[in-house]
Amino acid sequence: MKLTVLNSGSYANGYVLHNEKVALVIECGCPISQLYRTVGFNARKVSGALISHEHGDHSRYTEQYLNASIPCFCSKGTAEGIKLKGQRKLTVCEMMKERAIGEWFFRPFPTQHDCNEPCGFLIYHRETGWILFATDTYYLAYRFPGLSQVMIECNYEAGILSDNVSKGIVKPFVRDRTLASHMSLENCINTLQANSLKKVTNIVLLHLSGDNSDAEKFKDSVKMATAKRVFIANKGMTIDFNKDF
Amino acid sequence: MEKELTVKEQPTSNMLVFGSQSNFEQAMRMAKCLSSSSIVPEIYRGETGLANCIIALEMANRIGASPLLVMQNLYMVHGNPGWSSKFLIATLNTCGKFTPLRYEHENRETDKWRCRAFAKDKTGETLYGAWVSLDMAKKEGWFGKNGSKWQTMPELMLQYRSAAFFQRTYAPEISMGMHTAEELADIEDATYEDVTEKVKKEVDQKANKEEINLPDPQEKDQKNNDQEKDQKTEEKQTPKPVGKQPTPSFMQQP
Repeated sequence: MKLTVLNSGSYANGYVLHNEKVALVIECGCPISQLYRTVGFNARKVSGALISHEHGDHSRYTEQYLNASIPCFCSKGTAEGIKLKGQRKLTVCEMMKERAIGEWFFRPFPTQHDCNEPCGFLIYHRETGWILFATDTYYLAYRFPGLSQVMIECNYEAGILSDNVSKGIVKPFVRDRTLASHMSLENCINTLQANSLKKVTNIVLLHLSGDNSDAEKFKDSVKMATAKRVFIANKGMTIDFNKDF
Repeated sequence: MEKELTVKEQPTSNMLVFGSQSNFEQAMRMAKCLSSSSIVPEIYRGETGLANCIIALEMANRIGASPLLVMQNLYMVHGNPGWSSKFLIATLNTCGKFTPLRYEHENRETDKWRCRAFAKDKTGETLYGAWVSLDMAKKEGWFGKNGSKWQTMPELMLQYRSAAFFQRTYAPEISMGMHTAEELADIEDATYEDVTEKVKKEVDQKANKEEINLPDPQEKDQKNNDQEKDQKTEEKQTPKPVGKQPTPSFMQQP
Protein backbone atom coordinates (compact mmCIF):
# COMPACT_ATOMS: atom_id res chain seq x y z
CA MET A 1 0.00 0.00 0.00
CA LYS A 2 1.18 3.53 -0.76
CA LEU A 3 0.15 6.95 0.46
CA THR A 4 0.14 9.77 -2.08
CA VAL A 5 -0.35 13.34 -0.94
CA LEU A 6 -2.38 15.29 -3.51
CA ASN A 7 -1.98 18.42 -1.42
CA SER A 8 -1.79 19.42 2.24
CA GLY A 9 -2.26 22.79 3.92
CA SER A 10 -4.67 25.68 4.17
CA TYR A 11 -5.25 25.84 0.42
CA ALA A 12 -6.19 22.24 -0.40
CA ASN A 13 -6.07 18.80 1.16
CA GLY A 14 -6.22 15.38 -0.45
CA TYR A 15 -4.58 12.06 0.38
CA VAL A 16 -4.85 8.72 -1.44
CA LEU A 17 -4.12 5.29 -0.01
CA HIS A 18 -3.69 2.93 -2.91
CA ASN A 19 -2.23 -0.35 -4.11
CA GLU A 20 -2.64 -2.15 -7.42
CA LYS A 21 -6.21 -3.22 -6.68
CA VAL A 22 -7.87 -0.71 -4.35
CA ALA A 23 -7.70 2.93 -3.34
CA LEU A 24 -9.24 5.16 -0.70
CA VAL A 25 -9.35 8.95 -0.83
CA ILE A 26 -9.15 11.06 2.30
CA GLU A 27 -10.48 14.62 1.85
CA CYS A 28 -11.99 16.05 -1.32
CA GLY A 29 -10.08 19.35 -1.44
CA CYS A 30 -8.20 18.54 -4.67
CA PRO A 31 -9.58 18.19 -8.21
CA ILE A 32 -10.43 14.64 -9.25
CA SER A 33 -7.94 14.87 -12.14
CA GLN A 34 -5.17 14.65 -9.52
CA LEU A 35 -6.72 11.47 -8.13
CA TYR A 36 -7.01 9.97 -11.62
CA ARG A 37 -3.32 10.55 -12.28
CA THR A 38 -2.48 8.89 -8.95
CA VAL A 39 -4.56 5.77 -9.56
CA GLY A 40 -3.52 5.39 -13.19
CA PHE A 41 -6.92 6.52 -14.50
CA ASN A 42 -8.50 3.41 -13.02
CA ALA A 43 -11.43 5.01 -11.18
CA ARG A 44 -13.05 1.63 -10.50
CA LYS A 45 -10.46 0.77 -7.90
CA VAL A 46 -11.40 3.80 -5.74
CA SER A 47 -13.60 2.41 -2.97
CA GLY A 48 -14.65 5.77 -1.56
CA ALA A 49 -13.71 9.13 -0.11
CA LEU A 50 -13.74 10.27 3.51
CA ILE A 51 -14.30 13.95 4.38
CA SER A 52 -13.31 15.29 7.79
CA HIS A 53 -15.25 18.57 7.74
CA GLU A 54 -17.02 21.10 5.57
CA HIS A 55 -14.32 23.74 5.02
CA GLY A 56 -13.46 24.35 1.37
CA ASP A 57 -9.85 23.18 1.55
CA HIS A 58 -11.18 19.73 2.54
CA SER A 59 -14.41 19.50 0.54
CA ARG A 60 -14.25 21.90 -2.42
CA TYR A 61 -14.36 19.15 -5.08
CA THR A 62 -16.81 16.76 -3.40
CA GLU A 63 -19.26 17.13 -6.28
CA GLN A 64 -16.62 15.92 -8.77
CA TYR A 65 -16.00 12.78 -6.70
CA LEU A 66 -19.72 12.07 -6.36
CA ASN A 67 -20.24 12.58 -10.08
CA ALA A 68 -17.49 10.02 -10.71
CA SER A 69 -19.60 7.56 -8.67
CA ILE A 70 -17.16 7.59 -5.77
CA PRO A 71 -19.16 7.32 -2.53
CA CYS A 72 -18.21 10.12 -0.11
CA PHE A 73 -18.52 9.58 3.63
CA CYS A 74 -18.76 12.27 6.32
CA SER A 75 -20.57 13.23 9.52
CA LYS A 76 -24.14 14.58 9.53
CA GLY A 77 -22.95 18.11 10.34
CA THR A 78 -20.43 18.05 7.51
CA ALA A 79 -23.06 16.76 5.07
CA GLU A 80 -25.28 19.72 6.00
CA GLY A 81 -22.42 22.15 5.54
CA ILE A 82 -21.30 21.01 2.08
CA LYS A 83 -23.43 22.59 -0.60
CA LEU A 84 -24.11 20.25 -3.51
CA LYS A 85 -25.79 21.29 -6.74
CA GLY A 86 -26.45 17.85 -8.20
CA GLN A 87 -28.68 14.96 -7.19
CA ARG A 88 -25.97 12.76 -5.71
CA LYS A 89 -25.80 12.77 -1.94
CA LEU A 90 -23.11 12.30 0.65
CA THR A 91 -23.21 9.20 2.82
CA VAL A 92 -23.65 10.18 6.45
CA CYS A 93 -21.72 8.17 9.04
CA GLU A 94 -22.44 7.94 12.72
CA MET A 95 -19.56 8.85 15.02
CA MET A 96 -17.71 5.88 16.49
CA LYS A 97 -19.62 3.41 14.30
CA GLU A 98 -17.46 1.22 12.14
CA ARG A 99 -18.22 0.92 8.43
CA ALA A 100 -16.78 -1.16 5.63
CA ILE A 101 -16.17 -0.11 2.03
CA GLY A 102 -14.63 -2.85 -0.07
CA GLU A 103 -11.46 -3.98 1.64
CA TRP A 104 -11.46 -0.95 3.96
CA PHE A 105 -12.89 -0.44 7.40
CA PHE A 106 -13.18 2.98 8.94
CA ARG A 107 -14.52 4.59 12.08
CA PRO A 108 -15.15 8.35 12.43
CA PHE A 109 -14.43 9.99 15.77
CA PRO A 110 -15.07 13.59 16.92
CA THR A 111 -12.35 16.23 16.60
CA GLN A 112 -12.20 19.85 17.78
CA HIS A 113 -12.48 22.50 15.04
CA ASP A 114 -14.52 25.64 14.40
CA CYS A 115 -17.23 23.99 12.31
CA ASN A 116 -20.17 21.66 12.62
CA GLU A 117 -19.35 18.07 13.66
CA PRO A 118 -15.79 17.68 12.37
CA CYS A 119 -14.28 14.22 12.59
CA GLY A 120 -11.09 12.23 12.25
CA PHE A 121 -10.92 8.67 10.99
CA LEU A 122 -9.49 5.37 12.08
CA ILE A 123 -8.93 3.44 8.89
CA TYR A 124 -8.04 -0.23 8.52
CA HIS A 125 -6.70 -2.22 5.62
CA ARG A 126 -4.91 -5.54 6.02
CA GLU A 127 -1.78 -4.17 4.35
CA THR A 128 -1.56 -0.96 6.38
CA GLY A 129 -3.02 -1.94 9.75
CA TRP A 130 -4.87 0.75 11.72
CA ILE A 131 -4.26 4.29 10.45
CA LEU A 132 -5.06 7.33 12.56
CA PHE A 133 -6.11 10.29 10.43
CA ALA A 134 -6.63 13.52 12.38
CA THR A 135 -6.46 17.00 10.89
CA ASP A 136 -7.85 20.44 11.77
CA THR A 137 -8.21 19.76 15.47
CA TYR A 138 -6.45 21.48 18.34
CA TYR A 139 -6.40 18.33 20.42
CA LEU A 140 -7.62 14.74 20.35
CA ALA A 141 -9.76 13.57 23.23
CA TYR A 142 -8.83 9.92 22.65
CA ARG A 143 -5.95 7.49 22.80
CA PHE A 144 -5.69 4.79 20.16
CA PRO A 145 -3.88 1.59 21.08
CA GLY A 146 -2.58 -0.63 18.29
CA LEU A 147 -1.98 1.97 15.58
CA SER A 148 0.27 1.08 12.65
CA GLN A 149 0.31 4.44 10.84
CA VAL A 150 -0.32 7.98 12.00
CA MET A 151 -1.42 10.90 9.84
CA ILE A 152 -1.77 13.87 12.15
CA GLU A 153 -1.96 17.65 11.86
CA CYS A 154 1.04 19.70 13.00
CA ASN A 155 -0.03 23.20 12.02
CA TYR A 156 2.04 25.74 13.92
CA GLU A 157 4.61 26.34 16.62
CA ALA A 158 3.62 28.70 19.44
CA GLY A 159 6.89 30.69 19.26
CA ILE A 160 6.69 31.28 15.50
CA LEU A 161 3.03 32.28 15.82
CA SER A 162 3.78 34.81 18.59
CA ASP A 163 6.65 36.29 16.55
CA ASN A 164 4.36 36.68 13.55
CA VAL A 165 1.75 38.44 15.68
CA SER A 166 4.32 40.88 17.04
CA LYS A 167 5.64 41.54 13.49
CA GLY A 168 2.10 42.20 12.26
CA ILE A 169 2.16 39.25 9.83
CA VAL A 170 -0.65 37.54 11.75
CA LYS A 171 -3.50 39.49 13.35
CA PRO A 172 -4.27 38.77 17.02
CA PHE A 173 -7.74 37.42 16.35
CA VAL A 174 -6.36 35.13 13.64
CA ARG A 175 -3.90 33.80 16.23
CA ASP A 176 -6.84 33.13 18.56
CA ARG A 177 -8.67 31.24 15.85
CA THR A 178 -5.54 29.20 15.10
CA LEU A 179 -5.07 28.32 18.77
CA ALA A 180 -8.65 27.11 19.08
CA SER A 181 -8.86 25.15 15.84
CA HIS A 182 -5.44 23.80 14.81
CA MET A 183 -2.86 21.55 16.41
CA SER A 184 0.44 22.95 17.59
CA LEU A 185 3.75 21.11 17.40
CA GLU A 186 3.69 20.75 21.19
CA ASN A 187 0.18 19.24 21.23
CA CYS A 188 1.08 16.99 18.31
CA ILE A 189 4.07 15.55 20.19
CA ASN A 190 2.01 15.18 23.39
CA THR A 191 -0.70 13.33 21.46
CA LEU A 192 1.81 10.99 19.85
CA GLN A 193 3.50 10.31 23.18
CA ALA A 194 0.16 9.59 24.86
CA ASN A 195 -0.36 6.70 22.45
CA SER A 196 1.46 3.42 22.17
CA LEU A 197 3.62 3.74 19.07
CA LYS A 198 5.11 0.26 19.31
CA LYS A 199 3.67 -0.94 15.99
CA VAL A 200 3.75 2.42 14.21
CA THR A 201 5.86 2.44 11.06
CA ASN A 202 5.13 5.90 9.65
CA ILE A 203 4.15 9.25 11.08
CA VAL A 204 2.99 11.82 8.51
CA LEU A 205 2.62 15.43 9.62
CA LEU A 206 -0.25 17.16 7.85
CA HIS A 207 -1.58 20.65 7.20
CA LEU A 208 1.47 22.77 8.07
CA SER A 209 0.71 26.48 8.20
CA GLY A 210 2.40 28.60 5.54
CA ASP A 211 3.46 31.38 7.94
CA ASN A 212 3.60 29.71 11.34
CA SER A 213 5.56 26.52 10.72
CA ASP A 214 9.07 25.27 10.05
CA ALA A 215 8.92 21.91 8.26
CA GLU A 216 12.47 20.77 9.06
CA LYS A 217 12.17 21.71 12.72
CA PHE A 218 8.80 19.96 13.02
CA LYS A 219 10.15 16.80 11.40
CA ASP A 220 13.22 16.69 13.62
CA SER A 221 11.26 17.41 16.81
CA VAL A 222 8.72 14.64 16.14
CA LYS A 223 11.49 12.24 15.11
CA MET A 224 13.36 12.95 18.34
CA ALA A 225 10.21 12.49 20.43
CA THR A 226 9.02 9.27 18.80
CA ALA A 227 12.02 7.60 17.12
CA LYS A 228 9.86 6.74 14.10
CA ARG A 229 9.96 7.45 10.38
CA VAL A 230 8.50 10.95 10.07
CA PHE A 231 7.33 12.66 6.89
CA ILE A 232 6.01 16.10 6.14
CA ALA A 233 3.02 15.85 3.80
CA ASN A 234 4.16 17.66 0.69
CA LYS A 235 2.23 17.91 -2.55
CA GLY A 236 2.93 14.96 -4.85
CA MET A 237 4.81 12.92 -2.25
CA THR A 238 4.34 9.12 -2.29
CA ILE A 239 5.49 6.88 0.54
CA ASP A 240 5.33 3.19 1.35
CA PHE A 241 2.51 2.70 3.84
CA ASN A 242 2.66 -1.00 4.69
CA LYS A 243 2.47 -2.07 8.32
CA ASP A 244 5.38 -4.50 7.95
CA PHE A 245 7.68 -2.09 6.21
CA MET B 1 10.90 89.56 -34.04
CA GLU B 2 7.35 90.06 -32.91
CA LYS B 3 6.23 88.17 -29.92
CA GLU B 4 2.66 86.95 -29.85
CA LEU B 5 0.70 87.11 -26.67
CA THR B 6 -0.97 83.84 -25.81
CA VAL B 7 -3.79 83.37 -23.36
CA LYS B 8 -3.09 80.55 -20.95
CA GLU B 9 -6.20 78.52 -20.29
CA GLN B 10 -7.36 78.47 -16.73
CA PRO B 11 -7.61 74.96 -15.37
CA THR B 12 -11.23 74.28 -14.65
CA SER B 13 -12.75 71.00 -13.60
CA ASN B 14 -9.55 68.95 -13.80
CA MET B 15 -7.38 71.20 -11.67
CA LEU B 16 -4.68 69.18 -9.93
CA VAL B 17 -4.10 70.94 -6.62
CA PHE B 18 -0.52 69.76 -6.29
CA GLY B 19 0.17 69.94 -10.04
CA SER B 20 1.65 73.44 -10.10
CA GLN B 21 2.24 76.44 -7.90
CA SER B 22 -0.60 78.41 -9.47
CA ASN B 23 -3.00 75.51 -8.94
CA PHE B 24 -1.95 75.28 -5.33
CA GLU B 25 -2.41 79.01 -4.76
CA GLN B 26 -5.81 78.84 -6.34
CA ALA B 27 -6.71 75.87 -4.15
CA MET B 28 -5.55 77.78 -1.07
CA ARG B 29 -7.97 80.59 -1.87
CA MET B 30 -10.78 78.07 -2.28
CA ALA B 31 -9.78 76.29 0.91
CA LYS B 32 -9.82 79.54 2.91
CA CYS B 33 -13.31 80.20 1.68
CA LEU B 34 -14.49 76.68 2.52
CA SER B 35 -12.85 76.63 5.95
CA SER B 36 -14.68 79.77 6.96
CA SER B 37 -18.04 78.20 6.06
CA SER B 38 -20.23 76.93 8.87
CA ILE B 39 -21.89 74.19 6.82
CA VAL B 40 -18.75 72.13 6.18
CA PRO B 41 -18.01 69.38 8.75
CA GLU B 42 -16.04 70.28 11.88
CA ILE B 43 -12.66 68.89 10.74
CA TYR B 44 -12.61 71.33 7.77
CA ARG B 45 -13.39 74.48 9.73
CA GLY B 46 -11.01 77.24 10.79
CA GLU B 47 -7.25 77.53 10.57
CA THR B 48 -6.65 73.88 11.46
CA GLY B 49 -9.11 72.66 8.84
CA LEU B 50 -7.41 74.53 6.00
CA ALA B 51 -5.07 71.67 5.10
CA ASN B 52 -7.96 69.20 5.21
CA CYS B 53 -9.89 71.43 2.80
CA ILE B 54 -6.99 71.35 0.32
CA ILE B 55 -6.90 67.54 0.45
CA ALA B 56 -10.67 67.41 0.00
CA LEU B 57 -10.34 69.70 -3.03
CA GLU B 58 -7.67 67.46 -4.52
CA MET B 59 -9.88 64.40 -4.06
CA ALA B 60 -12.96 66.16 -5.40
CA ASN B 61 -11.02 67.12 -8.52
CA ARG B 62 -9.69 63.63 -9.02
CA ILE B 63 -13.04 61.89 -8.78
CA GLY B 64 -15.00 64.69 -10.39
CA ALA B 65 -17.29 65.39 -7.43
CA SER B 66 -18.33 68.54 -5.61
CA PRO B 67 -15.91 69.53 -2.79
CA LEU B 68 -18.79 69.81 -0.31
CA LEU B 69 -19.98 66.30 -1.24
CA VAL B 70 -16.49 64.92 -0.61
CA MET B 71 -16.21 66.75 2.72
CA GLN B 72 -19.53 65.39 3.91
CA ASN B 73 -18.66 61.83 2.98
CA LEU B 74 -15.01 61.57 3.96
CA TYR B 75 -14.65 60.39 7.54
CA MET B 76 -11.67 60.07 9.80
CA VAL B 77 -11.75 56.68 11.54
CA HIS B 78 -8.92 55.93 13.97
CA GLY B 79 -6.79 58.53 12.21
CA ASN B 80 -7.40 57.16 8.72
CA PRO B 81 -9.62 58.74 6.06
CA GLY B 82 -12.42 56.58 4.67
CA TRP B 83 -15.41 57.11 2.39
CA SER B 84 -18.92 56.53 3.60
CA SER B 85 -20.33 53.43 1.91
CA LYS B 86 -23.38 55.22 0.55
CA PHE B 87 -21.17 57.82 -1.14
CA LEU B 88 -19.05 55.10 -2.69
CA ILE B 89 -22.15 53.32 -4.03
CA ALA B 90 -23.55 56.62 -5.35
CA THR B 91 -20.25 57.37 -7.12
CA LEU B 92 -20.21 53.89 -8.67
CA ASN B 93 -23.82 54.25 -9.81
CA THR B 94 -23.14 57.58 -11.50
CA CYS B 95 -19.67 56.90 -12.91
CA GLY B 96 -21.12 55.75 -16.23
CA LYS B 97 -19.00 52.61 -16.48
CA PHE B 98 -21.60 50.25 -14.99
CA THR B 99 -25.31 49.93 -14.50
CA PRO B 100 -26.42 50.72 -10.92
CA LEU B 101 -25.23 48.14 -8.38
CA ARG B 102 -27.53 45.29 -7.46
CA TYR B 103 -27.13 42.62 -4.78
CA GLU B 104 -27.50 38.86 -4.77
CA HIS B 105 -28.23 37.16 -1.43
CA GLU B 106 -27.93 33.48 -0.60
CA ASN B 107 -29.11 31.54 2.49
CA ARG B 108 -30.77 34.60 4.03
CA GLU B 109 -31.21 34.67 7.80
CA THR B 110 -28.91 31.67 8.31
CA ASP B 111 -25.30 31.31 9.42
CA LYS B 112 -24.36 30.80 5.75
CA TRP B 113 -25.91 34.10 4.66
CA ARG B 114 -23.81 35.69 1.95
CA CYS B 115 -24.12 38.53 -0.48
CA ARG B 116 -22.35 39.86 -3.55
CA ALA B 117 -22.75 42.98 -5.64
CA PHE B 118 -23.12 42.87 -9.39
CA ALA B 119 -23.57 45.23 -12.29
CA LYS B 120 -23.35 45.21 -16.07
CA ASP B 121 -20.57 46.99 -17.90
CA LYS B 122 -20.92 48.81 -21.23
CA THR B 123 -20.55 45.58 -23.23
CA GLY B 124 -23.47 44.05 -21.35
CA GLU B 125 -21.31 41.60 -19.45
CA THR B 126 -22.40 41.02 -15.86
CA LEU B 127 -19.60 41.66 -13.39
CA TYR B 128 -19.78 39.98 -10.01
CA GLY B 129 -18.00 41.19 -6.89
CA ALA B 130 -16.58 38.85 -4.27
CA TRP B 131 -18.93 37.08 -1.85
CA VAL B 132 -19.18 38.55 1.63
CA SER B 133 -20.64 36.23 4.25
CA LEU B 134 -21.57 36.32 7.91
CA ASP B 135 -19.08 33.53 8.37
CA MET B 136 -16.37 35.79 6.95
CA ALA B 137 -17.47 38.63 9.27
CA LYS B 138 -17.15 36.28 12.23
CA LYS B 139 -13.76 34.96 11.20
CA GLU B 140 -12.42 38.45 10.52
CA GLY B 141 -13.64 39.58 13.94
CA TRP B 142 -16.08 42.19 12.56
CA PHE B 143 -19.16 40.49 13.93
CA GLY B 144 -18.09 39.94 17.49
CA LYS B 145 -16.84 43.40 18.44
CA ASN B 146 -18.80 45.58 20.83
CA GLY B 147 -21.58 47.58 19.20
CA SER B 148 -21.05 45.84 15.86
CA LYS B 149 -23.67 46.74 13.26
CA TRP B 150 -23.20 43.23 11.83
CA GLN B 151 -25.30 41.90 14.71
CA THR B 152 -28.11 44.43 14.44
CA MET B 153 -28.32 45.12 10.69
CA PRO B 154 -26.54 42.28 8.88
CA GLU B 155 -28.29 42.82 5.52
CA LEU B 156 -27.16 46.43 5.22
CA MET B 157 -23.61 45.59 6.32
CA LEU B 158 -23.41 42.70 3.83
CA GLN B 159 -24.53 45.02 1.01
CA TYR B 160 -22.17 47.82 2.03
CA ARG B 161 -19.21 45.47 2.25
CA SER B 162 -20.01 43.66 -1.00
CA ALA B 163 -20.28 47.06 -2.75
CA ALA B 164 -16.87 48.00 -1.35
CA PHE B 165 -15.40 44.70 -2.61
CA PHE B 166 -16.98 45.22 -6.04
CA GLN B 167 -15.60 48.75 -6.30
CA ARG B 168 -12.14 47.64 -5.19
CA THR B 169 -11.88 45.05 -7.95
CA TYR B 170 -13.66 46.78 -10.85
CA ALA B 171 -13.18 50.51 -10.22
CA PRO B 172 -10.41 51.06 -7.66
CA GLU B 173 -9.76 54.54 -9.04
CA ILE B 174 -13.02 55.77 -7.53
CA SER B 175 -12.01 55.30 -3.91
CA MET B 176 -8.37 56.27 -4.60
CA GLY B 177 -7.18 53.31 -2.56
CA MET B 178 -9.13 54.23 0.54
CA HIS B 179 -11.41 51.94 2.52
CA THR B 180 -14.95 52.73 3.52
CA ALA B 181 -15.50 54.20 6.98
CA GLU B 182 -17.38 51.05 8.01
CA GLU B 183 -14.45 48.87 6.96
CA LEU B 184 -12.00 51.01 8.91
CA ALA B 185 -14.17 50.78 11.99
CA ASP B 186 -14.31 46.98 11.62
CA ILE B 187 -10.63 46.51 10.92
CA GLU B 188 -9.20 48.80 13.55
CA ASP B 189 -11.62 48.16 16.31
CA ALA B 190 -11.89 44.39 16.02
CA THR B 191 -11.73 43.16 19.58
CA TYR B 192 -10.63 39.69 20.47
CA GLU B 193 -10.36 37.60 23.54
CA ASP B 194 -6.96 36.13 24.26
CA VAL B 195 -7.79 32.43 24.36
CA THR B 196 -4.28 31.11 25.06
CA GLU B 197 -4.98 30.17 28.68
CA LYS B 198 -8.47 28.92 27.94
CA VAL B 199 -7.21 26.62 25.17
CA LYS B 200 -4.31 25.38 27.29
CA LYS B 201 -6.67 24.55 30.17
CA GLU B 202 -9.08 22.71 27.86
CA VAL B 203 -6.29 20.71 26.25
CA ASP B 204 -4.87 19.79 29.67
CA GLN B 205 -8.27 18.66 30.89
CA LYS B 206 -9.57 16.80 27.86
CA ALA B 207 -6.74 15.71 25.58
CA ASN B 208 -5.87 12.02 25.25
CA LYS B 209 -8.11 10.96 28.14
CA GLU B 210 -10.44 8.36 26.65
CA GLU B 211 -9.24 5.16 25.04
CA ILE B 212 -10.77 3.80 21.86
CA ASN B 213 -10.53 0.03 21.60
CA LEU B 214 -9.68 -0.99 18.12
CA PRO B 215 -10.94 -4.40 16.99
CA ASP B 216 -8.32 -7.09 16.57
CA PRO B 217 -6.93 -6.75 13.05
CA GLN B 218 -6.75 -10.55 12.71
CA GLU B 219 -10.55 -10.75 12.98
CA LYS B 220 -10.84 -8.25 10.16
CA ASP B 221 -8.34 -10.15 8.03
CA GLN B 222 -10.30 -13.33 8.76
CA LYS B 223 -13.51 -11.57 7.70
CA ASN B 224 -11.89 -10.48 4.47
CA ASN B 225 -10.53 -13.95 3.80
CA ASP B 226 -13.96 -15.47 4.50
CA GLN B 227 -15.56 -13.06 2.06
CA GLU B 228 -13.03 -13.98 -0.60
CA LYS B 229 -13.59 -17.70 0.07
CA ASP B 230 -17.38 -17.24 -0.16
CA GLN B 231 -16.97 -15.52 -3.49
CA LYS B 232 -14.80 -18.36 -4.77
CA THR B 233 -17.28 -21.02 -3.56
CA GLU B 234 -20.13 -19.16 -5.23
CA GLU B 235 -18.16 -19.13 -8.43
CA LYS B 236 -17.55 -22.90 -8.10
CA GLN B 237 -21.25 -23.66 -7.45
CA THR B 238 -22.47 -21.85 -10.55
CA PRO B 239 -24.06 -24.56 -12.80
CA LYS B 240 -22.38 -25.03 -16.13
CA PRO B 241 -23.74 -26.90 -19.16
CA VAL B 242 -22.47 -30.47 -19.31
CA GLY B 243 -22.41 -32.28 -22.69
CA LYS B 244 -25.36 -32.41 -25.08
CA GLN B 245 -28.74 -31.46 -23.58
CA PRO B 246 -32.03 -33.19 -24.61
CA THR B 247 -34.12 -31.12 -27.05
CA PRO B 248 -37.35 -29.81 -25.42
CA SER B 249 -40.55 -31.47 -26.67
CA PHE B 250 -41.93 -28.32 -28.32
CA MET B 251 -38.81 -28.03 -30.42
CA GLN B 252 -38.81 -31.63 -31.57
CA GLN B 253 -39.68 -32.36 -35.24
CA PRO B 254 -42.89 -34.39 -35.67
